[in-house]
Amino acid sequence: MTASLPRRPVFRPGVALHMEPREVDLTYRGGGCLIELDEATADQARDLLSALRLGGSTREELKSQYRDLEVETILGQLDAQGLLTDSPGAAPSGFTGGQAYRRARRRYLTTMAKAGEFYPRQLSERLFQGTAAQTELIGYAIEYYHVVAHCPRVLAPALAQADDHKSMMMLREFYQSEMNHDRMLIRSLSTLGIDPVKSALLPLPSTFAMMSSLGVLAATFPLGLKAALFVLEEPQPEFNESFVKNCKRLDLPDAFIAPIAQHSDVNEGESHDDISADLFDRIEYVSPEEMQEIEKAVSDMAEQLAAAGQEITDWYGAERRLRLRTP
Amino acid sequence: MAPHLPSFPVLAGPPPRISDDRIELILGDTEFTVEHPDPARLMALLGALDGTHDVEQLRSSGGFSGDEVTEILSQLDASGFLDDNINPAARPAIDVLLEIEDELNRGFADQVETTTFWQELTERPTLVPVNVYYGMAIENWHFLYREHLFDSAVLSFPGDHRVRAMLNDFYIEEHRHDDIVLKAFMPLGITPEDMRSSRPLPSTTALVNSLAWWARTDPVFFLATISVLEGGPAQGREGSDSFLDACTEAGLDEDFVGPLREHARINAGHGHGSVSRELFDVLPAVTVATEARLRGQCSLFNELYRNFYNEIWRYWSVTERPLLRTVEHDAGKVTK
Repeated sequence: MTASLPRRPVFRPGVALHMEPREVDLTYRGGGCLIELDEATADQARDLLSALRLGGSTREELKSQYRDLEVETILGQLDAQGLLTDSPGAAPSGFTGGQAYRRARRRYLTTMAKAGEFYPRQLSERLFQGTAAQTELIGYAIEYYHVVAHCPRVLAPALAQADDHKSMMMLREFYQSEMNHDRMLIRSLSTLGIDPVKSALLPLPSTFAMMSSLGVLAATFPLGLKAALFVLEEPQPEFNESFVKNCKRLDLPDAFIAPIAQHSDVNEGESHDDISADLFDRIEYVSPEEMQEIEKAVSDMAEQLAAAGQEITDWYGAERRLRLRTP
Repeated sequence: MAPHLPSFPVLAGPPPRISDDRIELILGDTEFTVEHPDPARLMALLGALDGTHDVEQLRSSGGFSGDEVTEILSQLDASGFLDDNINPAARPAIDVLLEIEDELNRGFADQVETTTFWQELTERPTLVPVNVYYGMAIENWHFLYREHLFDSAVLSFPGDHRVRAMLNDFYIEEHRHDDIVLKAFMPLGITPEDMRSSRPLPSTTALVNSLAWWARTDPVFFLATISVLEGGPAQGREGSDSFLDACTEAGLDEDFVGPLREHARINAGHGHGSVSRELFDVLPAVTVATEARLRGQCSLFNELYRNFYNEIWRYWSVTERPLLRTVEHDAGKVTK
């Protein structure tokens, strides 16, 4: 087994060489080593050490240039003393945070434009047409409750991730601003005699998928979490207005409508949709593979959202009575 | 709403077209039509979005007022039409790792090699109390017994499939190494059950849980430390190390040293001393902020590592102390 790193070895800055006819003294930070030179190869060895001062040559180039020397053995010994590093490599290709965010956003827009084909029975369409059933509106409120109730749990792992101070503070503030929003939804549902705390309710698979995805991203792929947040925080003023209109059309009590409308206003008022943009503005580098994974995470979240729009209609709108999802 | 406007805005889609005084912009499969009272003027601005002009140049280009330009750019950006023609600032990860390695080497020389434990072991191995040798093996076992706490946390390493594959291989190679070392305690009359019911020194827990925390919250830093813990790039393929050399010098029973030697040989055979380099060679880049964070934590890591050895000496050089620290209750003290 031959070491392959450093690829283009060079002495660390600060390594001092003192060359004598038959030996070379290398010193570095109070340590170092003494290399005794063989008479037959002394000139080559001195040339090799001089080449390592300059760096730039690969191990293979050094080996073919100094054929009389055991180049790998010498490099191994110098490396064991901590004297070698690598010649600076080329700047890595990739994206700035701003570039990455814009790509993610375009991916979201194109995914959303197509998601309607795959999930054609959208609650939003029924809201816009004024044909949503009461059970669908209540079902939407229940799923909304599941989203906000899960928020602290799924976001919390992201707070532990090492990051620059400002980014950590931005995530912390976002987390705090999402806290206790489930209380608003509990208030809303209680006006209809629904208490998801006393009698536990299951979320729809798509709702649970959105929240578990966020949680997994928060714990394992902070860049993906930062990108996926805007998908859920995107302002939906048309949707919210139609929701309120449909509730009024079906005589749902104001006490049911108000907390939901209030929560939507809270999200838009605090311009939560900016959180991804603000976080990405602070990111200096995203690798091509990370970019790919971010785009996957964002489009997946967008499709889960579209899936939820259809599942709400399919589950809660299937019967005249409200089908509560009790375990 | 996108982040700050791009430094050098460039249109993301194909060049816009003008037809019947309306401007058509294309993004993916979607076509947008823009109506504007002066389409030629707007086309001139769109034509300048080629990534060679910064926002200030565009604002003062003449066709529109500065604020109008900003407004148009913001709207384009919000709809996904803008990109930024700049390059990210980051260094190749391996370049950064080799510098971090230098920091860790310095810390190792200044803090770890100077501990009484290592001084005594390398200079006077025959005078070192035998319990110190046993204690080192015991704490080493506690470390290996908990290695899953940190190695498993990076199995899902995000963003690079090659790094993830290497970490999965590393996990497999390290799996159940505690069982190899466990055999060393049989000649001391310590059973595997005894070992599992014992507890490590707080300095060992400190090292283990710090690594587990870093692996979960700052995995890149954890990756940089692996090689130090595995003996470093200087580690030979034959698996000799200073501790085993001291054991030999001190004439310790081969039944005790053998399993430790076997463990060192297996590790060396896998080249684990170079794992950090190999991982960072594959990792594309490290940003300036990450580099600063990695550097900032090196001395803390070295202190934890120093304490690991220091405390082994402090605890087991007092030969009256029992070999194992347990959590067993003294049943006789329970009274009604």
